[in-house]
Amino acid sequence: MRRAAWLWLGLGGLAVGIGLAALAVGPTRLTLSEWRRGVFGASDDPLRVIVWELRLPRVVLGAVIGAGLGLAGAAMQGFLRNPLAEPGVLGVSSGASLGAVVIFYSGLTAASPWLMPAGAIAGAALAAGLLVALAGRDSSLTALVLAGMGLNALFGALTTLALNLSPNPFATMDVLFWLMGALSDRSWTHVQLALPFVMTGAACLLACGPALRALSLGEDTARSLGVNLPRTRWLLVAGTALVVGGATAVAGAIGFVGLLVPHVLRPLVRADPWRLLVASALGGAAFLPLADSLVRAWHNGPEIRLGVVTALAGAPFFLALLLRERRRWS
Amino acid sequence: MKARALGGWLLFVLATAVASAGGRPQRVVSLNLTADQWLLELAEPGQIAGLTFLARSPVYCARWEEARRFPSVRSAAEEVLRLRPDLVIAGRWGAGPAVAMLRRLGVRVEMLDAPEDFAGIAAEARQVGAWLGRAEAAESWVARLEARLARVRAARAVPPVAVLGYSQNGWVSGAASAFTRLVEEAGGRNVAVERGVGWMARVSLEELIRWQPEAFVLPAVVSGAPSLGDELLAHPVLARAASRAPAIRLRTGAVDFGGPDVIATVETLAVDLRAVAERRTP
Repeated sequence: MRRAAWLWLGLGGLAVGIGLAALAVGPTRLTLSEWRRGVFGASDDPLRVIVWELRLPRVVLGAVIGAGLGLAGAAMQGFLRNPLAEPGVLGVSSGASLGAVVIFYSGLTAASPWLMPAGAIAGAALAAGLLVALAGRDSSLTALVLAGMGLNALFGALTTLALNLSPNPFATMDVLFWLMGALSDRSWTHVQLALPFVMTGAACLLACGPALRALSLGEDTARSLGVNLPRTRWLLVAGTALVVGGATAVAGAIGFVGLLVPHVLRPLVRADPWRLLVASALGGAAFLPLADSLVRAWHNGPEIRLGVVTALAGAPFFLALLLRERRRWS
Repeated sequence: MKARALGGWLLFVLATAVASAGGRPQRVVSLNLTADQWLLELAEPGQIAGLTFLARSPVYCARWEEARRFPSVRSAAEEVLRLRPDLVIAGRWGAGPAVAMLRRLGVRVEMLDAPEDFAGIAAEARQVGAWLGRAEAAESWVARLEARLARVRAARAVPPVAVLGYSQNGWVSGAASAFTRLVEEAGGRNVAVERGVGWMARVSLEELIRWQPEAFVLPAVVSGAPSLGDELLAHPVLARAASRAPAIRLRTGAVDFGGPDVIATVETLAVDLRAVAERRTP
């Protein structure tokens, strides 16, 4: 237990450190004294606006979304007992994108901005429900991944179609954002829109922790230990929909975070599903702002999309996992 | 039956031949937004056989309501042919394959250039007037243009107002853009030019607020059809910057140089810029 606590503390510290360092990264280079002016300066100083209203919301949003996606990935892997499960791979993120797109481009968000996360959450819930219906809980690894692939193709096409049908000529350019998410030009408004949902969803997923730990011993053992499986399934679907919907509504579909983070951390918690949940949330909060600021520091020019970076890091990892699983069967 | 149809066809061909011999095309199709505006300004309504689909959109064309009275085309050759045009007006840029095909099929196609200044626009008016057989209409339009231009130039803001044009997805127009010419005619100077932007560049909000213009020019909002690009223009940081430097809204299609509507854009822009200049603290 003490060991897990140290790990959590270390990951939390890492997330805070990366967040602070990320405040120094952006398209305008700030000298040390300018940076100090940005942090402590007068409220109408452009430098202060840069640090407090452009960079900080971006870092905070990255940490919130990273934490949510890491947690969702760990929870899905634990419940489905499938190492390849992840919101992006299984089509939950693209379901959320579709939900947000339908609400936003039909002009409904003019009535209330909260309709946007609501739409995304409905889309994510629909995807998660379809997934359970299509693959079932005891389905094989391949059936689940194939169902996810089908959902991704379907939701991606419907998202593109919805954007094509918009009378606004700029809507078509937004395809990239919804299929390959980003944190560019986000503000406190977006943090405000995402935070309540990601937090509530995270609470649902963390509440699944003890049940996931029991489930790792097998379904029958879990039942004899008093785990209520339908309730766990319900909590997990709701939690995943809230987390992924809240995140996707403001940042588009960012894939593979829920795959990379839990797999890197799993050996450090001796594969304990409950400890892994907390560690994945903290690890995700460190990973996503790190990925976001590394790209910004390295590439000066048109911004490289965060969704592209996480996919470039995650997809080879996914393929390697697939290879490992195949060897295990044969 | 067949003979009658053929007879009708011959009669039609003869009629168009006579009409073109009279020097006035009767079925003109436009493949270019500037040409759409010229047709709506200079042609007799009966001469217009088709306008581009862009002309019907309030995003691009001030005369969109008027344009909806005419058939629309998307610059595909077969669509144009179905309208049986005796003159097609296209832009020098774009519409390449369709133009080549129409010419091969014997349709008369004329090309508009992109004018550099108001002298160029006056020349454009006379040229379109000549193509349409409406030289007198063109002459009287040019006379009105010169009067309006003289009024604008007499009342321009001095010294010019520092302006930054920011559009969807963070695009900024620079030295070689039509936007800079519009702004300079209207009594402003484009700060992006001083920052080294050539034609267009994407500029982040971070850089943008450090440039500190006296006024922003933003694209007009499309009602009821949002996009993330438009949402960026409502970013709190930009809204805050706009509390010091007012935001002037301009139709997306108006940020172009050429056609009869440029003068109206310059006039409204000049009024807005003069208002900004008058609020300067001495």
